[in-house]
Amino acid sequence: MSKMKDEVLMSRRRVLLGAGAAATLSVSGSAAAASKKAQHWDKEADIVCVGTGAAAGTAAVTAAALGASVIVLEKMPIPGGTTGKSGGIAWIPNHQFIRAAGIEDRREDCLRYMARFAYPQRYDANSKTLGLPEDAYQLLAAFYDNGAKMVEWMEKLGALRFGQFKMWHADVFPPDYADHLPENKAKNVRAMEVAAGSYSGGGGFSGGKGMINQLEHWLNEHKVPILLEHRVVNIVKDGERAVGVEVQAGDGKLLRIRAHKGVIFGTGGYSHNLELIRLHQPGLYGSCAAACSTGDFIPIAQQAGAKMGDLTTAWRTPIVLEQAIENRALPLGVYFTPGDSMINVNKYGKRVVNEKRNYNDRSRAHFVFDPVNAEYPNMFMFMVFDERTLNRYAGAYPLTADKREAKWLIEGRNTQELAQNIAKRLDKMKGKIGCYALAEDFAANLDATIARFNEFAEAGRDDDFSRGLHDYDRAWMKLFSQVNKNATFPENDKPNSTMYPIDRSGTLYAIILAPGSLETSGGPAINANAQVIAANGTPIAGLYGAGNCVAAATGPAYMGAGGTIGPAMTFGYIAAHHALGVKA
Amino acid sequence: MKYRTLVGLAWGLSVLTSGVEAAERVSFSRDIVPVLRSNCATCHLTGEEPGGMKLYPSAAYKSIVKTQSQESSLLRVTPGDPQASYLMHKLEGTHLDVGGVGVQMPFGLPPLPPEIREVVRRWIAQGAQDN
Repeated sequence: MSKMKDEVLMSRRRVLLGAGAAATLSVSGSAAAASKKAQHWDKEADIVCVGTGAAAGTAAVTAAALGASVIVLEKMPIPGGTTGKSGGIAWIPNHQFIRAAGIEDRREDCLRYMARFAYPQRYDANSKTLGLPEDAYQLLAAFYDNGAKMVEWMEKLGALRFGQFKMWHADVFPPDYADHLPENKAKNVRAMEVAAGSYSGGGGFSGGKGMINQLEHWLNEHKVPILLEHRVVNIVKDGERAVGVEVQAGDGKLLRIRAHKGVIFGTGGYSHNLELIRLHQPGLYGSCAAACSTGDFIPIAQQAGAKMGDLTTAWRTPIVLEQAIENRALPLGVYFTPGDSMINVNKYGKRVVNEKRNYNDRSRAHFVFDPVNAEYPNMFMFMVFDERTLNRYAGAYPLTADKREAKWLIEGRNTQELAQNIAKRLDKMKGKIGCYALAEDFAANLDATIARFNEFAEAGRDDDFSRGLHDYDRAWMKLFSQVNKNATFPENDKPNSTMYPIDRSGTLYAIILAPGSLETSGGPAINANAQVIAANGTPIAGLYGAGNCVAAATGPAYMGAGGTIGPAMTFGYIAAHHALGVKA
Repeated sequence: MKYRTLVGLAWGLSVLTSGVEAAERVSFSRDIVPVLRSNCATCHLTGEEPGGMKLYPSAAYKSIVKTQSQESSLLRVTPGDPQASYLMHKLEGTHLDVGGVGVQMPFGLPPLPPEIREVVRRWIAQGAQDN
């Protein structure tokens, strides 16, 4: 300890970026006083885990099971973060159920799928690293190599129990989010679900809630302290090594907690940090992430000398703009655009995307730039539909069971009136949506677009965007576009279940969609050991990151259901092993 | 797919409150807090989310009892009067009838099962005590 040269890192930027509690550090007195204070540790453990979601929870369980003393720190009054709001699905390559079914999910195939989907601009099937930079390739490889091991480990410990995920109610295995890419050789079997009523006290809940309950229960059973309302504000370093953290406790006290072997962050993304969103995610109007997702690790890691990875990625989803303008902390995204007699159009009244593709990739279509008009014509899209879709799919968000509940619903007796009413809504949001406005020919174009779509619906083939062509479009519709029990409109008798002609003789409806997120997925760079990388490219000893607080191992791609939690848990598992010097 | 939007979690709630008999006095800490924590608190955590409530255990009571709702003229919980409690209407799906807005809670999930809603109703009718 006497040789320890702690770096008590203070930063005004930390305050600016949302970690407000850190402000107290900036008035810690003279250097001598600070040095004396730096000798004191309030608590200590082998491993300090920061956060209580899937990543940090898995790391904490793993470290404790490996014999380490562990302290878990959570800034909120209850554990779970965004994982607690989630479906608790984990996308895991080559897991035990895949193998038991005799299906092949070979390493080389799965890596090709992930590399191709995440980095099409670099992908080279004949390259040793598939065309990816070595570090990006190694992250994917580490995920493949450890994902299934992690699941079996957590089951063996009695911490979590998994089943192979079938889409709720639909009883169908979920196609991956690029199920149709030729590189995907095991296209609908990798998603796993945390089982309800687990080994260890899930409380009867499944989903993310059940996952958190089970992790918390296991940690409690094994006497691992979970300190709620303890916000980490700083990493303490001894030379180049992270040796502990400074923590703002709920009672206002500043604590120093030593980590003999490692500090593992799993603190979530930055969806609700407006400064970071402005800098790195322009046009992200709202998020379903827990409101505590303020990207705390980014300034903390920067102060500790970390190199930033890709900060621009997110698990994206279209959202209802008017809801987001009212409050950017959203309960749900428009994960799937419900209905069959429905299209999405841009400000020119033209379709620009297959409305039935996955939420992450559909959202990316919002950001197309038009260099002639110097604008983002798709920044907002208009989900346009008729009485049939409103009636038949009532309750499939953003359609509501009771029409009165949907303040965001816009009506018109024809395309002209619908356009006028959309324009009025946009006008109400003036000052919050830039210079976005409907084109003058929106209504005329919308008429033509509907006419063309109706031909596709009759023929069963979407010549523009291949809607309904691939399994994903049709299978996920069964889950997210369920028919209301009180529906009075008839079954879809057209050749493509995802399309039905839009009836322009009755009322037309619209909902304004904007790009949003389930959570951001950018942050400090990590390596295949989940070690945070320093600005000079070497790992920062003792400092680890997993989940949404660090740059995503799978880049901008959402591989399939559970594509967020699967890698998060896996890198939490990897981090704990590496910190303790145990081979995973 | 990260978010569960449609799955019914409601059956699990009966586990939490199965010990509450009809004649028994409802306990906020024993019977209501677990319901709020498991079904509401992850979305109503900081008070900045829609609805403006903190529904985690240590903050829930103050956040709902004798507190004005943001969406209607009713208090969230009016002790002794479930019909004058906006929380009850949001759980029952009758919120629009009393001048409220938005959707029935929990958002995007099936309504809480009737027996759970009845426990909440009885807690309010019994005076919504912090017991």
